Amino acid sequence: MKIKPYITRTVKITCFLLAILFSVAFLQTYALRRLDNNSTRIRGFYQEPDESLDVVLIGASDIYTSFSSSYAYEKFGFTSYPYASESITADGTLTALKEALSKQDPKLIVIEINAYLYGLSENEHHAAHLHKLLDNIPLNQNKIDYVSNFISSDEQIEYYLPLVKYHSMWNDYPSPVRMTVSTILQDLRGYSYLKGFRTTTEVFKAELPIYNDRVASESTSYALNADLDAKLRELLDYCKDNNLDNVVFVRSPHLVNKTTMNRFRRANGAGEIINSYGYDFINLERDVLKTGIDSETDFYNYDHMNIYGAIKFTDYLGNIIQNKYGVAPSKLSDKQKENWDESVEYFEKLRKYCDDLIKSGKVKKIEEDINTLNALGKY
Amino acid sequence: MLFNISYTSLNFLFFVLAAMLVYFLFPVKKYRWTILLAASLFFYAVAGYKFAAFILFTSLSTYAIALWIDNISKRSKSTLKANKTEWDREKKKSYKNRVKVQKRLVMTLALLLNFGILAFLKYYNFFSGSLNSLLGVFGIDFSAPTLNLFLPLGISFYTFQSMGYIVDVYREKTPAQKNPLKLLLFVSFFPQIVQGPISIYDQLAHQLYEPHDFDFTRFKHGMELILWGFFKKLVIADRAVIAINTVVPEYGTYSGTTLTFIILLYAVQLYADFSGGIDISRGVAQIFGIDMIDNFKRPYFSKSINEYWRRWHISLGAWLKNYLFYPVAMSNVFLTASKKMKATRFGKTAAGSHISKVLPTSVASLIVFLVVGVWHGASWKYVAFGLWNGLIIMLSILLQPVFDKIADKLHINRQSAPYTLFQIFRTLLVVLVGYVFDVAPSFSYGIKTIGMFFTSQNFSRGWAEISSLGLGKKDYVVLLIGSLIILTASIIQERRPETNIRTLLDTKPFALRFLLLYAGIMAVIIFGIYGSGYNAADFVYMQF
Repeated sequence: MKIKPYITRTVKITCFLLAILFSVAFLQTYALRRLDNNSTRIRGFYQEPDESLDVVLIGASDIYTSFSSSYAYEKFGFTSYPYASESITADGTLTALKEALSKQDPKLIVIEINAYLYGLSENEHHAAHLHKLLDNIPLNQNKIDYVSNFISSDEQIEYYLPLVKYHSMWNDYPSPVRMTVSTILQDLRGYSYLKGFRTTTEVFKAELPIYNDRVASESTSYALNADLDAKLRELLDYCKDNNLDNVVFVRSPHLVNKTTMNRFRRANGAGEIINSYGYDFINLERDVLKTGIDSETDFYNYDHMNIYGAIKFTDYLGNIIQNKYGVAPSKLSDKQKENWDESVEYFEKLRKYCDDLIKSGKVKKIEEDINTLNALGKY
Repeated sequence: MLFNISYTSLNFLFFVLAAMLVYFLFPVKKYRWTILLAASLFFYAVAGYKFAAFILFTSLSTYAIALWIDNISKRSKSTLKANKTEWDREKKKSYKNRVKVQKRLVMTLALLLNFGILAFLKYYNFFSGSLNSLLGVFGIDFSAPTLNLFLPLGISFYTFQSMGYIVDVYREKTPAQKNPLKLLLFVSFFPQIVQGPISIYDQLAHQLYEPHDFDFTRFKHGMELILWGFFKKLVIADRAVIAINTVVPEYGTYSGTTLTFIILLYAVQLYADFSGGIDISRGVAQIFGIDMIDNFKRPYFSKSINEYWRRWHISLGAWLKNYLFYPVAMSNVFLTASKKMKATRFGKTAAGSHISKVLPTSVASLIVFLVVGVWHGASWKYVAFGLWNGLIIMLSILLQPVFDKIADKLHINRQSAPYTLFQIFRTLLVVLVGYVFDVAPSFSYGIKTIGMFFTSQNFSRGWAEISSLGLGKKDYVVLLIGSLIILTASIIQERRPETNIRTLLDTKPFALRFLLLYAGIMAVIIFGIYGSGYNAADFVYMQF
């Protein structure tokens, strides 16, 4: 039997399959995929060296718009990173905690509890919010558990093969090029400059009356939605079962108004549950006056602080992390130090850039992409 | 459906690959057909388990009745043999007639049972509704109830295929299958169950039961055909259907220009959908070493409507020709009518002689196309669709001498390219008018649409409407390029009908084949309509 034709055929088939696999992998990773600040942030988390972070923050946009890890490093010397995604679900919060612990052994874990404060549990099934987290988690047991437990069977394929969901994005080109190039550059660089921080250059003028000065004395507690209550207890049980005594729960400041007052009261309710498990809950919304955050100048909408608010909040929370929980900076390698110093440089430029934009009245979403990085290059 | 196993799903591809592995690795070659049977039953169970009883009943009744007919034939032959010398000619003739009647009765039982189920499930509500309307006209207070009926997966296809087998056994063209499981495989073979082709027992069965060894070329060609089917279905048909489905629910609000565009788009969509599905079916069968008949031969290149129906849904056409057209055209009633007409004074004129000669075939054609129409759906619009096609064919047969004379008088060279193009264009127009009834929500809308082609053309309004049918400019570009690719492949195939494109591709350099297949796969992945952003459309012919 002549073996040469078989070898030639095998080589040809292998080359063909590899070309297809490589192309699909490229499309799925960079070209036909919903890339945004969530993907940049979570990608950046996995790019951090193993067991190199002193603090991991977990939560939704409430944490990554209000806390800058770069600025905290500049001010306090500890390293931190937000494992956070837009409107993260309660189940996602637990998954994020598991993922964070699979890469890092932080001295402190800060969990922002926004996911548990919705009046209804609809967010748990919000496809876009689920994708914003799950698309960016590498294939591992945590992801498989989440997908198999919470995603309907006919949609599961889209979480393992995001190309199934996003292949029609060819229609959006050329606009996705910005994030495709940004992501490729981030991957080539191997780390994130802004450590997941995202903001909008706007000073928000609230139309509704703001109750921030009242909330310090508001002690009414509302029960959580039953599903979310159970999920919070599941998270707390997980922390207990795994002897995680380095976890603190927080609520970041918002512009509390008539419609969001109930959410504030639910945060009080959540605090009681958290405390009953022996964990600290710091409702920073109560401390808003102490933080110096100004409801007139420091927010870009009701739920998010702008760069001015974020700096004040990072100062305040950083102080608590350092002084109350005793998180001291770890010794970094030269390479790590160089990266963090570079990150500080970028943040300082970002601060000036945002300041300029706000002063000139230009509302812009600022995230780590080539446009922002190019703009920062001029500072 | 237990889970999505439609032909264009990833699950189906994995299922085919798993079935292929088990089939070719099964050590007892003689029983490899059992793997095909198991795969077919698994597919049916997953895709339509609620209705499995229907296909089992059809298989079982077909099996038993075919054996019954076969036994009658054999018994009669042995009786005739035993009495060869004792019986005179008259007695033999009378015995043969008795046997024929007996066989026909048994065959009729099978046809009534199985077509009865199909007719009841598919047409009961149509007939009860029509009856109620009719009685209402006469003021009769009667209301036949409307039932909540369902249509088992592939019922039209497997019923037609099974009944074709019964008729073949009756005609002694094929012996009855003695193994009920083998017959079940013939009825339920998974690549053809969703939308055909409607195979003839003699052509398919022996291929199913023979053991096949893995053949790389067959595998490659099968996969290429599947890829081509995916391209047609996912890139073209399912994209075009977005615009069509946007128009149909609010059909009456669109301009004639938009409706003209939609009918043209429907022609593309229907061909890409149906032929794409058949390509997938044939490709899968080919991997297992089985050649199923092709259901299409570039139908839009047809020069007459008669030719069109020989190129479109070939297996249904062949079935109707074998089992309906010939029995009707050759029936005593028609032959006698033809003879009687020939004997009249009119029959002795040139026109009368022609008409009496072609009368059986033309009327049989009309009947066949009425059946084609009703087969497509239980609605008057489908009756109109069938009638339109049948009438055109009937008239073309009856008026053939007139057309010939006109062509001669005008000195038209009927072999010339411009005339051929004219014929193709003319046929396409007739086909498109038929499609109007397919697309329109009802018969009256169909008639209205044809009127709007002439009275409601408004290009600026049409352009605005077409731009908002759920497809962007880039989608239309994809549709255009995709259609041009199909057209190019069809022209190549039309020019070299004896070779298929895949064999032709084998002769080309590796780099070119690599590039074409790579481009095909990437086109399906990128431009295909699938995933949760879209509701993947079922194959159009699946509903039949």
